[in-house]
Amino acid sequence: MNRQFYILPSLILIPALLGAAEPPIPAQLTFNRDIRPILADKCFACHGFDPKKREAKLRLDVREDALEAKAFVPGNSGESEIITRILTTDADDLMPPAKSHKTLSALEKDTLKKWIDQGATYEKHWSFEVPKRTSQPAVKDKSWLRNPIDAFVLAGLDAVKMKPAPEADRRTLARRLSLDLTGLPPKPEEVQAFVNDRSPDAYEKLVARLMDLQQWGEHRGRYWLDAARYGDTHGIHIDNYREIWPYRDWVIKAFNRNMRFDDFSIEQIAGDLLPNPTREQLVATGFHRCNITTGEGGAIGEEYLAVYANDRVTTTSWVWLGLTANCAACHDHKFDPITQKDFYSMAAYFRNTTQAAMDGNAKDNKPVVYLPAPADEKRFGELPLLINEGTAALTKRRATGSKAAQAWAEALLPEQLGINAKTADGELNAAKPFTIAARVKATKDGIVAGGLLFVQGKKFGVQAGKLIAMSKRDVITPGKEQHLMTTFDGKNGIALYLDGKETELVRGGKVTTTPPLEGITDIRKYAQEVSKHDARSLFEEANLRKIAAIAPEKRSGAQQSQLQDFYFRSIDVPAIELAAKLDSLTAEDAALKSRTTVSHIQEEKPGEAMANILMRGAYDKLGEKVTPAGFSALHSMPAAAPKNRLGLALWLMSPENPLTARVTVNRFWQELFGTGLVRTAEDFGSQGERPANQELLDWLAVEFRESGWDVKKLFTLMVTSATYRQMSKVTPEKLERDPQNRLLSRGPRFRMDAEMIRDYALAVSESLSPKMGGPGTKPYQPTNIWEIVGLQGSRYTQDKGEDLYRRTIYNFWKRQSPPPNMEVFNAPTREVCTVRRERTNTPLQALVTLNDPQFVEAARRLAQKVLREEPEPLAAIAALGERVLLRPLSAAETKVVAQTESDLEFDFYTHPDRAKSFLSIGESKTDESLPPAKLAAFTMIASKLLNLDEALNK
Amino acid sequence: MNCNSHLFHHLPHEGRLALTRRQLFGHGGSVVGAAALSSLLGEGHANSSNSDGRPVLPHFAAKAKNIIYLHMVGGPSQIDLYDYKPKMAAMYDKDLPDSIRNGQRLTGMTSGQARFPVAPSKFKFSQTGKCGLWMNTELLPYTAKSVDDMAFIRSMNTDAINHEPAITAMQTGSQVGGRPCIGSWLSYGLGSVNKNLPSFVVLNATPSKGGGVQAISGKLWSSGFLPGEHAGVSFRSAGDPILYINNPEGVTPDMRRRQLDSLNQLNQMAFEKLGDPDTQTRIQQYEMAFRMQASVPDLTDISKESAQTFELYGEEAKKPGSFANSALMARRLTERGVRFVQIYLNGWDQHGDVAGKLPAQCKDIDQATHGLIEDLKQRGLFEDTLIIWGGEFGRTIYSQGGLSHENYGRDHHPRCFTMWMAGGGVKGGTIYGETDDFSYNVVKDPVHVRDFHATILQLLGIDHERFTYRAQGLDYKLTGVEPAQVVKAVIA
Repeated sequence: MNRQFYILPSLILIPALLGAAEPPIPAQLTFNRDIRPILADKCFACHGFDPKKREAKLRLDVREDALEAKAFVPGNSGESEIITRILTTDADDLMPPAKSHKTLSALEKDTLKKWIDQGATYEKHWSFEVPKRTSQPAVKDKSWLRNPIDAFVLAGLDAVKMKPAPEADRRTLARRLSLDLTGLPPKPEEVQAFVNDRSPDAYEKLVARLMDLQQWGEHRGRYWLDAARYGDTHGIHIDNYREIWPYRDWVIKAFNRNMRFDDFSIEQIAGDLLPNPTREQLVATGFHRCNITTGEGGAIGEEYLAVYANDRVTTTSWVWLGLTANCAACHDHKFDPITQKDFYSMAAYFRNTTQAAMDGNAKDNKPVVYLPAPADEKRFGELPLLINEGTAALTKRRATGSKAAQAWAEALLPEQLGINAKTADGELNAAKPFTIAARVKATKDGIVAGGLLFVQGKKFGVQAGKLIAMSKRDVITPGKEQHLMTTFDGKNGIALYLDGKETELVRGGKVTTTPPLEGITDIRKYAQEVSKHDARSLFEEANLRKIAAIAPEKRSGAQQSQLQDFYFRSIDVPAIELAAKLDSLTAEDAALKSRTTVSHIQEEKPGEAMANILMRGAYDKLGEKVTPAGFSALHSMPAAAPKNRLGLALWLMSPENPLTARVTVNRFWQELFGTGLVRTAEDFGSQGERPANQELLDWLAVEFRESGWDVKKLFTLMVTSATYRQMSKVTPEKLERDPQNRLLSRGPRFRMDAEMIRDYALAVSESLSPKMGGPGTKPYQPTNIWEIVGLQGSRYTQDKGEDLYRRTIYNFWKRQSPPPNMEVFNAPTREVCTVRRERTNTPLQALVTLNDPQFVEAARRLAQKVLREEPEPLAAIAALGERVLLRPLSAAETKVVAQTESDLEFDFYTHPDRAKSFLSIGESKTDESLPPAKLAAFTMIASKLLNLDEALNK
Repeated sequence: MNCNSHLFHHLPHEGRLALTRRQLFGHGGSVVGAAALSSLLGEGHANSSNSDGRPVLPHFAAKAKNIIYLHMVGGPSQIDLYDYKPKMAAMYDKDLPDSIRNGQRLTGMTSGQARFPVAPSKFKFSQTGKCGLWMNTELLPYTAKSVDDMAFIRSMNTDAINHEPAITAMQTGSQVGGRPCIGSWLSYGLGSVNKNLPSFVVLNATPSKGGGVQAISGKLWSSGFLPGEHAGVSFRSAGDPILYINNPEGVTPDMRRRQLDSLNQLNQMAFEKLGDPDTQTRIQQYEMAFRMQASVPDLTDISKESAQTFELYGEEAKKPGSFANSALMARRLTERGVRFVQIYLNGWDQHGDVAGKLPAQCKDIDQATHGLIEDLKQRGLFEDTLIIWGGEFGRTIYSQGGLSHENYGRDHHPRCFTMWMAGGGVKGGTIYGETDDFSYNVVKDPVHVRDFHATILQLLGIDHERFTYRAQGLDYKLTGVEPAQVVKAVIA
């Protein structure tokens, strides 16, 4: 029945999907379609590309080598060794050998035989040939065609005598388009407007309108963030917060301004290496800072630097090349021409980074870019200049004042040495600023006479009226001379200094010690808050007095400069004033930086990029040194490409690259149709699945590239095709002959992704916040989810108000504990790059959409909405159907819904306590003007509609 | 079409699934029988054909059907529990000889230490059981009674020296995340025998004393590249035992039933309109969720357990979240056909104060572990259930930080550690593998993590070489690419 299919070999389809019982061997065999899959699966592991695993020095993936090894005689299967070996009954000679656990079927054996008889011709693996713009095939029914995509699809259907499905109705199309272009359902009135719009370009107008919405970028961005393995935590071990959400927002904005895909790629891989990169271009490089990192105590740095580079090569290869380079981390790829050297040559691009191996469990693990708020922007720019000026002024003052300093030093008497500050006369107290410093050999607890400074245990501190502060750490070493000092600004500002350096303090606590502090050798009290410079001077004073005792001409150079430093720190008024000004600028800068958002970026370290091959992938088994390069089996490096990541980016986007355009359009296709034209979106190599329609894939790839990598144009093309507009009805014939819809004999229908399901419920209940961007939000989550897996300090604090209802793309993503209601719908953990999600259906999913407060509350808000607008039950049910399904309910459906509603309403009416607790779920206020039993029953049926297969599916 | 035909095997996994569905549903789309559907949803796969694309399992007769894996997070000290080193008493505070350390890499936590003084175990060891195992009977008196049911492997070793990679390796066979864990592999390969419960359940027990806690995460029970339904379902000791299992407040099971009945009717109408077989799957998915809701309360209600049960496990078993409670739950889950129960008990990462911390940890596990074995025996489940105990690595003979006769700390040690197995197919009373006098290097019969994995699979009737899954361009195995050996000596 499928004979005709084989007569049209230009169409590459998967024969098995057509459900033939025993297909004949095609009349004319094609290497890539018919032979390579058999060899790749059964032979290449031992007779392929990898020389280390090669047996009997035979390789079958290169025709010349196979001929030289006399594996076969073209045109004569009877004389061919490989045929003898696959047919033999001698267990010692049989290929594949028993220990490989691989066997050839009779059909496969016959196919190989026939191929040799036909001359044993080879082809390069399909995806390694640069795609060419294919001419549109001839089709029977031209009237169906809306654009070139359709010609390729229809030719495929013609070949197997199948017909496309009729066009879906307008309501279905409006819903499908809205979900595909914005990730959100349309409003009923928008659907109605489209239904009523009789203008010939109504459809195109709708497409354009939806693509102009900001939600377009959010929806497209979500797919990309899977590939970028974006998350808000480091991923390994403690898994603390990592601030990189500006990168997430950059991706969304990039799609919204329809950034060319080549620029989009280049900026993410190497934005920092572009001339005068903008802050945005730096943020873009966050792509390769999204990989998981560790801060585990005891982890070995070199090991993790290797892991990070490995991840970056693997991700780059999956996302832009559709190649499983990961296989080549330990050995040459067994099936695809990627050597281990290739792998580490690409790793070299990523090893040349200033990033440290340990993330320090910090939110801002360098390199980062600061992104000041608009109000801070001016000051943020000024401060470094002002700090430079201040530093220069201080240096200048030290030059102009050097004579005075020298004169001072020469005239200096040791006992006169002291800082230029007002000595306190009388009692110090919390009403005025003060400084108190003591040189002490503490042996036990005690307090300085007159109070204020005390030693308690291994800590010291200050007590000024009600204010108490103590050193955070145990800093007192009993019996050792230490310089303890505290300053007070007269209001609330306290600082503690130990041996001239500020030490962290903790406010509060209780002073239990009362005896006078023993072991004091020197004590100073000032009626002002002295500077940190004075603190150092006071500490150094004892030593400097010894220097001062030396005759000026006998002081060494170092000793002279120590005295000079003292002079400018604590004697020379102009220098003191300049230093104070500089201190306040530096403090302001630090404060500004600590409140400023950062984003993780890439940064090249000086010197030429290189890497070592890691033997078997082990970080401590260094092999040959390699310099950066693209994969050797692919196109050559553009002449102008520098030997850094920018070179890599240019190489990827080169028109000679056979893969990137194909791999990218395939992923976009997958977003719309559920399955890519190549099902294995991450693997276009010989182990990946062949394209269901290579001519279409190639045509789209060339079109995309030649359009200037215009993403919106490509999507417009796809969604305006007749192929896309088909009904998704599954007829028995289609189920039989095109079960997976790989021939595109009907419209796409599949369960929506996790995020879309949550957004859908929020949108139809009009709960969804339109706010875009910003730090990750924390919506409802069962208690104790983070705590149970994480280390100390890992606590989930749920947001309040609007942030409970933000789009899911903005939800905080903790990699070791992703939101459970998303994970259950196959959202990846974002630990590694994902270009194709699983789509499974499990009972745990039903539990989420039925019981998760997020969904229950959305159902209640939806019920409130319709009941306020339509108090009559039947009208309210109709409105509910319109809102959730975007179509009128049928009479039969209405009857079922109404029956449940009245049953449940009776139940809630007779058990008002049930209604009360049910309606109190969620943070938003329940509308108390509505009868509780009715609202509760409507909430149940709203929840039911949201759980319909139709609502969960696109 | 014949499912064993050549063509069938060339279909991608989903293709096969869909074709199977079509066969089940028939061309007209009549509602499929429950039995057929349940096989579709992954029940009873131990003996079924490969009609949905799974490997035909078991490869040979299985000796165990279920697993209860007691993972001691942090790495318990083999030297203080099972790897008796009497000669170390004379080595107290002497430096670990360089010939023993032999260039071993150290963690960043002790690599800066000036010396590596030997810290002999301070605990009382004695010989126990018919097998004559020397073990710490001071801290593990109950466990000591079970040694003739256990096979000890004292020559375990791993490649990783820090927790995150080591625990990931122990659970998934690879130090790098993203691979399926053992439980997921078995759920995928063997399926579930209880249609109302998941096939792979995880229980996180809380140590009774804090400290020495290491991060564990969902990645340890993730399905990696295997289909998502094979991920472990984490049961919680507080709140809903399974996330979202309880109806919203105010909704009774009867009300939920009525809601689902009409949901099913509407879905059936949609199916008649669009003919998508996935709609039928969805109906079944909601029904299974409902059954799961009904069976979980019974599962977690231990109030009807007899006094004798609590005598076995100890009174701690009444305390939700304790190890003893988790052990009891493990028996209840196993009894109900859950294939793989994974218990994590944190708190074994004892870099310091072994004297203070180890007794508390041992107290948490000792009686309950023995109780679990006895309980399974009494219920006839012991022969079918493989029990595994152990951490992700061992600890060093030399002290980390201060050393006294009474107290010391121990750093991570990947070169040797002790694990034991008991139950289904295990040769009780086996003592396998030997380490040197310092419990530093394996001197006889080394067992790498991958060998251990191969052995687990063997006991479940699976040839680890043939149990593969194609993902990311590779045929992945739990045991990885290096050759792995089944430890035949521990198999009865």
